[in-house]
This record gives sequence, C-alpha cells and structure tokens, in this order.
Amino acid sequence: MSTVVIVDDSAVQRRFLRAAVEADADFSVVGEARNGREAVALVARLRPTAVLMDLDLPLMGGIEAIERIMSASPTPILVYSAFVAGSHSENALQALAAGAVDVLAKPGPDDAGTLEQHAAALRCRLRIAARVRVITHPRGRLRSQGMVGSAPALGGGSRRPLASTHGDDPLDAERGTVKLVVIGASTGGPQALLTVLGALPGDLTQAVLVVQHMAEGFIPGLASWLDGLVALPVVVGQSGKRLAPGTVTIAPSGGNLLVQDDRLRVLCVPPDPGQFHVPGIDATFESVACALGPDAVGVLLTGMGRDGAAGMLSLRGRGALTLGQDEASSAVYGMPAAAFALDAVVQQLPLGEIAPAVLAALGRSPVLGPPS
Amino acid sequence: MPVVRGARTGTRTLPDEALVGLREAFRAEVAERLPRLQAVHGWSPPHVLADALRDAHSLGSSAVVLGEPEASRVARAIESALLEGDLTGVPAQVEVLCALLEAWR
Repeated sequence: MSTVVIVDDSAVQRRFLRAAVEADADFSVVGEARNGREAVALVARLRPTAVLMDLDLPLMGGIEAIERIMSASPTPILVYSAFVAGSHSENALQALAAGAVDVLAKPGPDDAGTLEQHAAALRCRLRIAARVRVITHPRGRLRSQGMVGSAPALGGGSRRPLASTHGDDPLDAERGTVKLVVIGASTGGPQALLTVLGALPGDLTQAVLVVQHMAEGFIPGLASWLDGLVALPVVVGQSGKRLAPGTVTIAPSGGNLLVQDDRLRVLCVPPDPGQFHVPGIDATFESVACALGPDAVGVLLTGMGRDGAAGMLSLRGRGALTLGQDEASSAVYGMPAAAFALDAVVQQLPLGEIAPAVLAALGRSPVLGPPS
Repeated sequence: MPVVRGARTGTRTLPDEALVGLREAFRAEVAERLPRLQAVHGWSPPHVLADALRDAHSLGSSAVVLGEPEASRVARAIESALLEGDLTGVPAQVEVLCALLEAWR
C-alpha cells in the first residue's frame, strides 16, 4: 500500500484528488495540507510514499515547500498545478529543479477528455512517481546557508580541484579534437542538467547538445530557465541549423534530433513508430556516434527506462568517451544503469564529478564552486 | 458505480459520495471566494488583490472539475487581468462569473 499526502488550498481539488487517488486500491490518502507550511510538517510526520502538490499555495508557496521537503524528508513529489502549462512552463522547471519528480497540469476549460480519464492519468503518473527513489536534495540546505542563487553554488561536488590524472585513467585518452558534448536525461534531469551545465565555463569552444525527455511544450521553458542560470547560452535546436560552439542546444520536443555530419548540422525527424520517449536519446546519440565518433563525449544522466543505453554503446564503440551518472546521485537510476549493464559507460561518476570529467576530456580545468 | 454526465466533461465514474462531496465543496468555495472577488476595485490594497488572485485561480480550476467550463474561462480571464494589474474590466467580469455560478450560490 502506497500512502499519499495531498497539498492544495482548494477543498474541491483536495476532494477530487482524494477520490481520484483512492480509486486505486493500492493507494491510501493519509493526510491533506492546505498550504506549504502544513505540507512540510505533515510530510515530516507521516513520511508518505508520495506527495501530490499544488504550486499556488498560501503562507508558503509550493516551490519552497518542495525544497524544504526534499531537504528534510525526501519524498517523491508529483506537482499537480494549473501553473505549469503554457506560458507558466517555467514553473514546472523550477519545481523539478527544487526536487519534484514529475509535473502534471490540472485540466483547463478547453481540455478534452473526461474527468475520469484525467483521474486515470493522474493515478498512472502517481504510480510512477511513487516508485522513484529520491535522495536528499541540497537546495533547501543551500538556501538556509545563503548559497542559492548562482549556478556554481548549485553545481555541488566540484568544489575541489580534480586529482591529477594517471596513465591508466580512461579520461587520459587523447581527445583534443572533441567538437561536441552530448547529454541525455529524463526523470530528475532538469536539476542534474543544471548541475552539469552550471559547472561549464562561458568560454567553452565546443558545442553542447542536450536531449531531455519532456512533454510537448515544455522545452522552450527548460531552455529559458537554464539560460538564466548557466554561463553558456542555451537555445532550442532547429532543423537544418548547425550546433553553435560554446552554446547549449536542447533538442526540441515532438521528434528526434539527429546530427548529420561533423559540421554539426542537425535534422529533426519524426519519432519512430511506437517510440515511447520523445525526443529520443538513442536516436541522437547514434547519429553523433556516426557523425563524430571519437570527437564526441557522451553523458547519460538520471532517468527511468533505458533510452540512451544503446546510443551510449554506439558512442563508445566509435571511440567516444562515455560518462554515466552513478546510482547514489541519480533521482532514478534507470537509463544510466541500463548503459552500465551494456558496458557502454567508460566511467560512472557522481553527478558533481561529471562536468569536471567532461572538462578534463576537453583539456580544460574545472570551474571551482564556492569554498565549503 | 453511478454515472453522472457533466456539461462538458462527459461521462464520469467517480464514486457517488465523491461527487456529492465535490458539489458541497464547490458550493462552499463559491460562497467563500466570490464575495471577495466582488469586493475588488481599482484602489484595493495589495493583500486584497493577492487574495483575489488566488480566489480567481481556485474557482477557475474547481469549475472545470464541476463541469462549468464557461465559468472557468471567465475566472481565468479575471486571474489574468489581476496578474497584469489591469482592473478596469474586473468588476464586469466578476458579475458575469456570479451569473454563471448562480446555481451554486
């Protein structure tokens, strides 16, 4: 039996959510909170399996409540809010960055589908969220220490200089011609991306390409959010254009982004029939393996499922350095585990050590964070 | 399990007691939040506008659940006007919302 705490200031929404959740006999709603403060206290006391959380809350807003919960009593949080759709998509990214594992928009007046269909979708997302193994999230602690606000502070884990390399270190390989760093991420990805990208310097000369599993319409918000927090400019990729050096390009939603040649021209193609995750990481990674081979670095971050694992194997097979996020630092150790099981990962690292490893492969020194 | 047909949301299969509870809760929400929206005017202090914003937002989300899409659209329009700080049309929009939710008052 999974236990759930509902957080919403509207009694109507709380009743609807309780009915929708408890229609599944595997779920039991054990508590309801009407504001962020109540939510933080209730989750600490009841330690539920999962939390359903609105963002627009009185006394303490949803984002702050998520930060505090993930700092003090880490619990999978599914955000359920009207403030995450359309022009509000940046709120979704902020919630994910604060530690929420997933975001679902409340139905609007023009949404198709019945209430029961929406309740079923909610249960499905909650079932997935409840299985996510969450870890203590640093942002609440960093906030209390006055360290939130700059990307390097969130970079965590890169506060020490890299140890000098040795001859048998796989990162010692000659990779002076690397043109592209390609990164794949899914559940828990936005925060992990912020950590990695936030630790890259603004004068990087290589292009960075990111494939993040994300629902239609959220990618521009992700790009805008990251652009405001990291040193490199962040843009959404466009078919027919070239990936710019010193720029983070995020694959657009709705299809797969393929790198066509070593001049980094990209093409957006429709997803394969039956493809579950769009944009697909495997498709992009395999295109990069073909176009660039050893002149690429592949990184696979946290995420559910196994997308990206086959692509990492292709990259490694073509001589590229491949880095996977380790289990301890992954919100969901699914995709990196699948890649590791295929022996597609040259080196598995904690999240905070991935950017320094990338920079080492590019012949650059890591960007140091604030002193601890 | 009973089947209730809403104005827009089509067939629902939530438990009967849940639907009764939702209607009761929405009636209470309308009774609590609508008067606060009616009290908004051009020189309302910030804390009144902040409450009104949350009221409009909550009514907009709840009206969808209760099969009142038009009321939801009007509530969302009020919310947008409050967010933009353009209160000139808000009293008229609130009157429209009151009429649409008359059955719930």
